Amino acid sequence: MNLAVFVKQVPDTAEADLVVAADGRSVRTGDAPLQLNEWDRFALEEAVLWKERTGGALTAFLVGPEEHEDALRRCLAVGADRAVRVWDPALPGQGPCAVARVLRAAVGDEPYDLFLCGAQAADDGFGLVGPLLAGELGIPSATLVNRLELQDGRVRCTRELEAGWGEVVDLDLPALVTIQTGINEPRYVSILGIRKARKKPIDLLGLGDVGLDDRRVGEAGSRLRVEAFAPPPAGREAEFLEGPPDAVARQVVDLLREKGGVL
Amino acid sequence: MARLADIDGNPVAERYELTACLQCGRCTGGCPVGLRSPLNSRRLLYEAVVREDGDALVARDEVWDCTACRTCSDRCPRELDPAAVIREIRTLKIEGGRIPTTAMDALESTLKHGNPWGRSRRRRTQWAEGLPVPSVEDGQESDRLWFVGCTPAYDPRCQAMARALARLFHAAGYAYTTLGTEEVCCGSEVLRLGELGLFEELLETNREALQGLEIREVVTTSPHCLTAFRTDYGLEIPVRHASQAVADLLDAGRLPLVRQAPLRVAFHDPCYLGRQSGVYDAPRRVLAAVPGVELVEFDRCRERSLCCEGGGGRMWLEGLGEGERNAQRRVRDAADLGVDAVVTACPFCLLTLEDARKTTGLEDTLEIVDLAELAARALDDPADGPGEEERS
Amino acid sequence: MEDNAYTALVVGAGIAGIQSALDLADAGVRVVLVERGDCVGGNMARLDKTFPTLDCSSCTLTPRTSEVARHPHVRLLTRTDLVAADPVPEGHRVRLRVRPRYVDPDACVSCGRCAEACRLAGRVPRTFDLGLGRGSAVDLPFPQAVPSAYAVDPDRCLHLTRGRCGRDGPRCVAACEVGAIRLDERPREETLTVGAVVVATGYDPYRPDHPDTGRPELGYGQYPEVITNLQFERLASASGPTGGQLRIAGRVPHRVAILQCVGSRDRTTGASYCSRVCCMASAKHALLARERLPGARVTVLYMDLRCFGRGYEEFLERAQRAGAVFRRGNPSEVYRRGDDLVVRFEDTLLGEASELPADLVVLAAGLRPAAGTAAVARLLGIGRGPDGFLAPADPRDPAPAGPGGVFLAGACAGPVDVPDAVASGSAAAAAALGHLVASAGREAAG
Repeated sequence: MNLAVFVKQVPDTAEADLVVAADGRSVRTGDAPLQLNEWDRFALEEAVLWKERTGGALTAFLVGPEEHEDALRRCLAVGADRAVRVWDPALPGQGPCAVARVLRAAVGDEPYDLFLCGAQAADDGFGLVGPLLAGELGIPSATLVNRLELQDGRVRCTRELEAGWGEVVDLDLPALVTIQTGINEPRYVSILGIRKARKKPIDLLGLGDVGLDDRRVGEAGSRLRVEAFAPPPAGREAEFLEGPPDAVARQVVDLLREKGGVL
Repeated sequence: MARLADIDGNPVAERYELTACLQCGRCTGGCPVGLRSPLNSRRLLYEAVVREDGDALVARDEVWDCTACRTCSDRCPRELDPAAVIREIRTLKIEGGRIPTTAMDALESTLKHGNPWGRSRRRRTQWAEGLPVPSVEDGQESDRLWFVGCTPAYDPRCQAMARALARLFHAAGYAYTTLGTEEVCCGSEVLRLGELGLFEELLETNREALQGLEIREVVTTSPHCLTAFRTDYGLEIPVRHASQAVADLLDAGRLPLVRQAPLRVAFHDPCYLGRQSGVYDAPRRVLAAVPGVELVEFDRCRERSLCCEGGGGRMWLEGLGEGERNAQRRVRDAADLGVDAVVTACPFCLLTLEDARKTTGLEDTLEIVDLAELAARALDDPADGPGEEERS
Repeated sequence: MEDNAYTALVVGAGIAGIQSALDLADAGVRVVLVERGDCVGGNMARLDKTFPTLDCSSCTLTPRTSEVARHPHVRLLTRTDLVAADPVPEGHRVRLRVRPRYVDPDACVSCGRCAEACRLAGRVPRTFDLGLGRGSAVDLPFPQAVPSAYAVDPDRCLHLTRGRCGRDGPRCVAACEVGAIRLDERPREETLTVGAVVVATGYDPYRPDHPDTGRPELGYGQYPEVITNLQFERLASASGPTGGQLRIAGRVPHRVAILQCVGSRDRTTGASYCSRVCCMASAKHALLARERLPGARVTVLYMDLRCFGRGYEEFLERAQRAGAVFRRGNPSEVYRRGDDLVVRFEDTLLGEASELPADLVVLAAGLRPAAGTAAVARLLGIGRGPDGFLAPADPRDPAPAGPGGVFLAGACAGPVDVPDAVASGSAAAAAALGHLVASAGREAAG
């Protein structure tokens, strides 16, 4: 089976000081360390599992600068056979449409059977690249997949809906799925494993290599433009419930019922 | 199928001369988790020799229960090293990617943030707010480094250890510096968990820092950092534990402990301070110098101290098996001894004993207190640093 | 011999008997040393190396065997049995039967032409090699044998069994250039009086293929790859059938299984007792196998590891560090699977039944009192224990068999290793000497 997985490196924002840029249109993450987008970890694990089960090859793709290459090293360490990074000075500032276009171009004519992405990215949270890429490729897609089964030439996807419900859709291959967290247990990638993966090459492509010009990508090619970022308004302080345990418990139960925390 | 081999493919039985194992069982007999866990070092060593299917050995999970206390290796009559074999198996599991999620998070956090607690590097010095703690980031140099450690720096309960130590050092006019937010994990637990690659990176980073600053002596808050620097890094410079530093300051008359801190205490010897580093007397010298403190020894003290199950990466591993945990046994023994508090000198011991105190219902009758915390109560001038909050 | 010298008979010229004989002879006693076999040295001569030092066995033994043959106070009689022993005031009046060697030991130059020429060359199982090697009807047990003279096997020699050897007569006679062959030699008897008798008749190895007490389930005698520990010594010896190369059934083994307690600690084999030496011997065999078969998997299947003597535990450790694997479990069965054998046992440390493939199986056969021990006991009035070995009247005074001037040395009184056999030989000699002196004193006192 020929598999492709698409990954993104995002900042770990836990305890990070996020500062809105002067022009209000981006967020500076400062020295927050980068990590593989959490949903992509599950997508990568799923891709590797299917590679192990069916034999075949896995290629990992990333659109990003050199500082983001660690994500691809991780893919190679875990079992990807090839890694491709696409970057060009024209690329920063683009929205999901342009990313999808770049990825589509990077995929080229290679006959993949299954394409996997994370359901969304932890930084911008659009959740669009997957479906847009499927559109560009002209193949069916399913999002928020938390269970995958391969059956002759088709893939049966269970999509995660609210309240524990799932929707099962069957897609003919080739198809694209965006992966929800919890579909599997991503394996640990050791430092030694990453070091060994340094021997595997990462193909670096520029726009010219993928046959795009800068009008179709970057901010110019994006159909979406970020106007402003703002931190969320500070809420009130937490409410302290006081009193004897029985009374407090009753208050908690009422609050849960009221605020919809209990079904 | 092949017998158990390390990550370079060398059979573990040959590398560690396991055919010399007499199968006497003394290792398993002394293992602190042996009564509760399926972990059986004797059996593991035997299986490493006789089983053709090494992969099946690696697939088993009981190795995660090991606390790396090294009782097994210390007591082996043929001087073999079961603790190392357990660590080899952990390394193989790490390379295979299958490790408990909690351990995974701790390792990835160490890589990203330089500490296993998922906390940001920038917050590493918050514990020192309001205290005169010199740091190289403020340009304060010294050839003595106080390596604070991740847990004393970040954990809310353990920050009191670091604060107390800072006050003691200040009162004694002790010269030292710290690495500030540049301090990264010593890698002790990373190594014990078996992540050799990550440990090597931490070792490199710390060695470079020490060399670059021309440090000639290291003092650590945690016995785990002590073991890492002394044993695993093979540093040529002296590395000492805070209890030794404080004991020496007391001997030199530089530390005036004059306020009464009346407390009947038992001292819990941490495995990594006592048995692994040979430091038993320094903490006791400190206790003897705190006015009002009366020491009652546990039956299982010094070399026979009961491992609290905090080492070997266990702070991030739940552990198999049911029944009483050692820390719970320890606090119950303390209650039987009739002491007011258990004193210890290790952040992991402190946390596991605090936990045990709560789960055994001894919260109101028994206190767990760090050695430095207790000593600092006896400091003369509260203006040495902001007073500590009421103990909770 | 001078008439007024002390005299002693030593029955058995293994290491214990030799030690007794030399100690007595050095003290001036006139010793008659009788040996039922063709040469002196007993079972120790069969060994390649001894534990725990791994000294070459014949290098340790040969100086003594030469000395005992040359000692002016020792008269050595091989192919000799004790047939009668009557107590007399001076000690014992003993009758010895000397079986013919059919070769004149003074004439024989040990050139070996007779054996080469023998019509049965290569067809006679060699007793010294415990059946592993093939020789002739006239043979020398091993190159350093003392006496250094060939001997004819009267049960195999065609001339002696059939009355004729081929059409042109015995080829050995024709081949011998010094005319040493004496096919017309007759047995003879000798009677003498001795002041003391030392019994050192030694042990025979347990036979796993014995019809009554054997262990047929181990495949000994059925599978060529199953041999005993003593046979392993012959394979390992430079004087053995393979010149010291560890080969069996035509190939070099690479999976060796050594099975402990075969014929010991086992009522089904008629021996509840422990044979004392096999744990160490097996550790030795395991170490030798690891050293001489690089990369071989060597496993010892044991119940206990009895390494009680000086240097023994350290020797065991040495064998273990050389990579010999010790697995606990008394093996139950050996059977064939394809080209290999499989040993079936429970690994009691794992609590699991297991199969161990092997292409060489060495049975650590236990020790039995040597054939003829019962007869000797009867002749000399010596007690025997429930285990069949000779027993002193007082177990706390093991050298004298009783008050009658008969003394016990070596394995005839229970399994012993070489150091203990030597010690007991000296103990018997000392006790015998004491007895001789005391008797003479009483006699002198009238």
